[in-house]
Amino acid sequence: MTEQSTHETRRVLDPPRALAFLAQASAVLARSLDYERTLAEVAQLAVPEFADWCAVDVVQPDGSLRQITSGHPDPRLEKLLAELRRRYRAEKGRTEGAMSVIATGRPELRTDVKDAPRIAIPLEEEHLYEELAPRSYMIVPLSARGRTIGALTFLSTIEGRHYGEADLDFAQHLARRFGLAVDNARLYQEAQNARDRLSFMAKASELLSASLELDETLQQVAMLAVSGLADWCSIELLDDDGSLRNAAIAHVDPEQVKMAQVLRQKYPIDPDDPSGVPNVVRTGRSELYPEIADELLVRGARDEEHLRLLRSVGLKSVLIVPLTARGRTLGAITLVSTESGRQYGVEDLRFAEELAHRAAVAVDNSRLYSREHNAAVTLQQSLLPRQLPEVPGVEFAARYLPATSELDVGGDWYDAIQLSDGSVGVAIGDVVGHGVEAAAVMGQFRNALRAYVLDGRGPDAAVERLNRLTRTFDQNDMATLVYVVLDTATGGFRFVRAGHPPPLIRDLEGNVTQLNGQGALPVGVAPNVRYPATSMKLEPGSTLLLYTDGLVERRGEPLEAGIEKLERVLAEAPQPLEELCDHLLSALAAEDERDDDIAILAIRPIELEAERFQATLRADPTELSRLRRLLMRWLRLTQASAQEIYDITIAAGEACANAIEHAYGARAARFDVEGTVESGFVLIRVRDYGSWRAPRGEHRGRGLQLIEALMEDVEIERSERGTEVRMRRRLSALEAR
Amino acid sequence: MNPLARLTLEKRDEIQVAHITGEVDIANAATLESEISDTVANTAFGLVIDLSDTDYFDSAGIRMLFELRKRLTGRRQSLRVVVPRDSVIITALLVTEVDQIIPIDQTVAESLAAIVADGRPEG
Repeated sequence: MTEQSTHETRRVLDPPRALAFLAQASAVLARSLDYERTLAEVAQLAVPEFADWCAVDVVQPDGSLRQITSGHPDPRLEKLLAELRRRYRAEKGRTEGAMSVIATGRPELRTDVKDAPRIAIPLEEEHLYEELAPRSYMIVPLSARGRTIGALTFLSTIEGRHYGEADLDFAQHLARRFGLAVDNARLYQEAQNARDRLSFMAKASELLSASLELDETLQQVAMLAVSGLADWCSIELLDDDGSLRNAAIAHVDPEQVKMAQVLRQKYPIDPDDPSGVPNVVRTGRSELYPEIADELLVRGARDEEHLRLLRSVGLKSVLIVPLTARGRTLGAITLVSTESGRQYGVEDLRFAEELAHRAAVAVDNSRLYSREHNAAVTLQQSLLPRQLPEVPGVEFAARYLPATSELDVGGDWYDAIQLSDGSVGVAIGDVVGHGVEAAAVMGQFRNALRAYVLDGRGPDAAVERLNRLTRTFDQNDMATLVYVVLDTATGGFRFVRAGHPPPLIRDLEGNVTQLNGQGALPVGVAPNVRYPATSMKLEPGSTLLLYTDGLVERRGEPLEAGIEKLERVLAEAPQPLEELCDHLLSALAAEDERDDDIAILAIRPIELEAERFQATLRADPTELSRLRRLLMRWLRLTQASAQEIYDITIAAGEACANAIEHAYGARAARFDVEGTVESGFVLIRVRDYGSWRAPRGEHRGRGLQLIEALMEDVEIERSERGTEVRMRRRLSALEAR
Repeated sequence: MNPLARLTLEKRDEIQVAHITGEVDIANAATLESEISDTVANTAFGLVIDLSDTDYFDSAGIRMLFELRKRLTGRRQSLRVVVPRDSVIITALLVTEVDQIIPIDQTVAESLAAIVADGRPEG
């Protein structure tokens, strides 16, 4: 009793110092509505004058305790204190400690710790306890508006400093003021949090709707999460094969991202784990770990190394929420608190679930879109020519790159059509719109144009017809296009440009010209539009380049600037046609992110040498006119007269007609035509690989008759491997020399 | 319509005239032959094939001429061909002796006059 009364009379703070402390504390409380900071500052204020260690515990809406301590100068002792308190809370039926003070609303004064029932602590920590040397403590309830909202704990470790009733009175007085301030700050904080969360969610929604590139979106969500919700965020997705894939990882400290990644890579999630991400994905139910005790790490660690890593991460609190959309769980978001010391509660859980739900819908959409993206690419590619026609005397090269993002695919096309008069039609176009629908509409455009030109319509008539047809389509389908008909013999061409970027010509010197022609509206915009054709000439070796706007369009740049850039790139591109196309793409097409499809089609009449002519043709009657054009082009180089050109052409044509007949029935058969100039003669060799047939019918011998009449020497060599016709004709111009 | 060659048909009095512009080879000769043949009515005096604007005419074209002639002769109708002397295609017709069987004129007017002069098939 006497000892007790001694204690009663004791006081750590005398009235003047107590008043000064109160004034200071009031100032701190008034200064800020920042709840966490207020708590920390007040806890700090009590040390060392009134206590050696001070803790503020505040009850969270979910019943858990939020603790802020003044901290102990010795981190080992701080850890011990935390552990002691945890044990206090964990032990059932305890009537001491902050929990019971909060529960009863009655303060606890322990003038001398020696009187208190000791909590069991491990033997190895006994020396720490000795070092801490607790002498006296008191715990007073924090109350406001008639509710106990927490507790204040003061601990004295100084020899001889023991709290007495007077100190308890003062502490309670302090706690009353403190309680109100904390409550106000908390109300403010809650309102602030609600606002923050709204704005966080708004930002998240914006991110989620901005892009549909799955992993990129999720990475942004993870980054957002570490900007206010967690120190470390990881997102796992359930793949089609049932495995879990890490889709995004972010850490508030960029330096630590690597560490987080290493942890995930080295210790991938065990799909059979009864708890954690696999469990959340399996059940669709969240898991909340307000506090991560070391035992949990020990239990969860696969080996020593893992445990060491887990410990070094410094896990404080963990939250795992399912990504659920349209009734299916697609993965999970893991939020981890480390450095910030944040402790997740029920409210965080609800919030994270909401975030996860939105992210899941985005993931689901993105998957649907990527499926559609693939469908559009497949459709697009199936509608483009599988291979470009082999046209003697003309080289072709084409490229098609689908847009990388979302639904931008579809709508670009190119085509090359052999026309029966020996000329070639080439088209490039771009259907307005994207996705599967645009790809399908593109198919309609391409085939309609094909049908019209194969019907013998010139470029102007064909495009006018296409425009009329488009006006009858269900939707308001539109397309820009360029259609060119090239005479392979002369290089002359006619083209129509309907709202499409101008084709370019690069000549042998590297000069680049824009072909604006008589531009007209895109097809499908207005009825009865005239699409006038412009006539031009393409010299042998010159390149005609058709392209779609994806090659030249850059965000925030005028189209003209893009075309100028293309002109510069084209000017210096290598001459071989395939290399030229590759060069254009590598210089102008972004590899990873394309908003639009890119299609290019390059056409070049080959350069003929006067000394030698060579062509390989399909054994098909329609090839003859093409061969004649090419052969005439070559013969003009040899100084043959108009009649000589014609006669040699007829003779060669007759030999070729025989070659085609010999190949009768053999699909994909080819034959070769060769021409040379030697000592005043033009020599023509036609070689086929079919079986010789004797001329049939009364007129069938006339071809040979023509050859023999028009050429000076004719040799025919027949073998099992085919037939070769060699013939020559003297050129009058060369003879005269 | 076959774009390798364009066929224009007209009727002058009782004579069918077929103008062939472009090229004739094995790719289109058979089609042209049947198109022309179909237009010659049983009552027509004859047929003039105008090759003035034909750029290419090979053995397939020559065969077409002989086939048409065979057909017309059966109906006692005349066939004449117009090829100007300076046309590049004339050589091929001459070396295959087409002119020995089918008369070749310089102009359509000449052909028309010649057919009229021959009079109606039945007097």
